[in-house]
Amino acid sequence: MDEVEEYDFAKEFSKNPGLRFRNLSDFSGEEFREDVLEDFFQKNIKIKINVDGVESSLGASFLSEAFGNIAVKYGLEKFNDVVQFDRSSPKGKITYEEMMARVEEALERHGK
Amino acid sequence: MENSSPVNLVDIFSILFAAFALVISWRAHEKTKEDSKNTFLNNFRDKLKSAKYEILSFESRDYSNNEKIILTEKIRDYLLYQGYKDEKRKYLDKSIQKDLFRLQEDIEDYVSLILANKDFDTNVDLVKNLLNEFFKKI
Repeated sequence: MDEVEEYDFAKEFSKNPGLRFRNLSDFSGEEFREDVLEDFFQKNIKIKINVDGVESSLGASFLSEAFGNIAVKYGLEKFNDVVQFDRSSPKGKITYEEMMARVEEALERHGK
Repeated sequence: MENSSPVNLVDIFSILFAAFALVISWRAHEKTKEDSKNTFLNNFRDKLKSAKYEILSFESRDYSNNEKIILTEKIRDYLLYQGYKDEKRKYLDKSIQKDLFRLQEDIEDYVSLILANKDFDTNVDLVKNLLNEFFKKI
């Protein structure tokens, strides 16, 4: 699994991501997990996410639902193998740190 | 030998003066630290109140996507989401930091229900209670 796909979050998903569930908000964490991340995990392709163009924040519920739940499903080792973040900007760095904290919390909540 | 006594006295006064200056400077440093902590906590309390008033001012109606984005971003700012990292680490206990981390996620979930006009009054009450409970801890 050496292939890495660059993913411009703002262009390919949304400049303003929503909240947790797709029935409650557009561009939700659930939508991102089911429609985007699952594909990368199933095809075993690395995704490198760039969030620089995102206007608002990737919220706590979005990060927990999208990244936390997929880490619970596939395990932390596989998660770290597939999901990468472009951390060259302050926004990329802070979003990555927040995402990892939400992932760790989700794993802890599920006893993993 | 007779001449050494006044010199020793001067030395002793110098040491005492230096020690006194050190204590004064340490106390001033501690006071500044305490003042910074109090300023941070008072600002944070104000932000929590603002979060509560903001949510209490929500209306039971359908919000546009842009309105939802603006309102949720405001609530995130009030809850110090992705901000004040050093201050949170310095001035909040570990357990409070964890409670805040969870509060940010829980409030977002309730706000998503409120803005989607689902069980409006119940969810506004739940948010209000969560914020009140957290407020008591800081």
